[in-house]
Amino acid sequence: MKMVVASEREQLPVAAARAGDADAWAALLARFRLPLYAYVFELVHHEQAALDIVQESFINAARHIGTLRDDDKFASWLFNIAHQKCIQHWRRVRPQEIAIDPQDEDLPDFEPGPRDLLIRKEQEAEFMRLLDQLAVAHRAVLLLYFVEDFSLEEIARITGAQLGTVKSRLHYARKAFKKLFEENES
Amino acid sequence: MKTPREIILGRHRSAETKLGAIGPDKLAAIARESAHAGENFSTRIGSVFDGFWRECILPWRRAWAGLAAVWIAIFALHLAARESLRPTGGELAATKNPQVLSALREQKQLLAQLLGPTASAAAATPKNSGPRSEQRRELFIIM
Repeated sequence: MKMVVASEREQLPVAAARAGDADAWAALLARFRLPLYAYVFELVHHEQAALDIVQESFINAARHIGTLRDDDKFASWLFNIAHQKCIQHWRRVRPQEIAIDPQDEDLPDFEPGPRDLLIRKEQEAEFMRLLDQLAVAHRAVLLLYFVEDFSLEEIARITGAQLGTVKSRLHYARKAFKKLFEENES
Repeated sequence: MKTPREIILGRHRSAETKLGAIGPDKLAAIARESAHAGENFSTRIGSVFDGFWRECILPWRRAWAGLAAVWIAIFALHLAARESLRPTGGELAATKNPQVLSALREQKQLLAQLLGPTASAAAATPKNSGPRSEQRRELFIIM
């Protein structure tokens, strides 16, 4: 089965959803429900909180879809709503997590890598373990990159970070994964 | 071999049944409601203005036009009066002329002489600032 990702610029029924069409909302739910949940769960690590955040994000999206100017940006807009809700959740539960933001420095442009990564079955558990070990800010960037294949600009918009910061975070995450797979290979 | 996306989504497939609780009908209803709310706000402002125009302005349009004309006339008159009160260039030049100033001074002196010393003294003496009872006593003595 072919995975549909945002970069392919699929036609989403955003205009119909704005008009209050239930079928359009069903299509948007079917498309984004699971990726959004996966993103949120990997950030908050709490099932009920993740379910609540996803539900609230869709309700907020339905309430404010009239303010969305560019229909092509629906995916990044929806993920941004969820990201903001994750931050609110951290503020309530683990305020120290938000402060975790490793040093960002000027780095060369991010080279494609983790996106093209193919992981063997025996490496899957290790991959997820490594993802969990990353700092929240790095994990968020990498998840958005892996799950929805968002562009660097879109990731910057979702996370509210500078473009340079996003590049830097992806660079560190990529280095960490490279190390993991090199270790496994040897 | 799997992509990271497949692994991450695969890890959460079991949550799909729980995520099914979010109903598209509910979301569509919310979207419709907020769209109507937005429309209602703009149409409400429009209808208030429209009502004011139709009920207060249109039936009495001649009266409003007359009132407006009167106000314009008053404003024009006010401006004209201000213009006429302002000294002209010739008048300003005359006040600066030393001959005119000396003539004015002479006229003032003549007027003072004609009025006499009492008038000038009375005019020169400052107003009593003492208590009122003392002032009354003085008046009584003079009479």
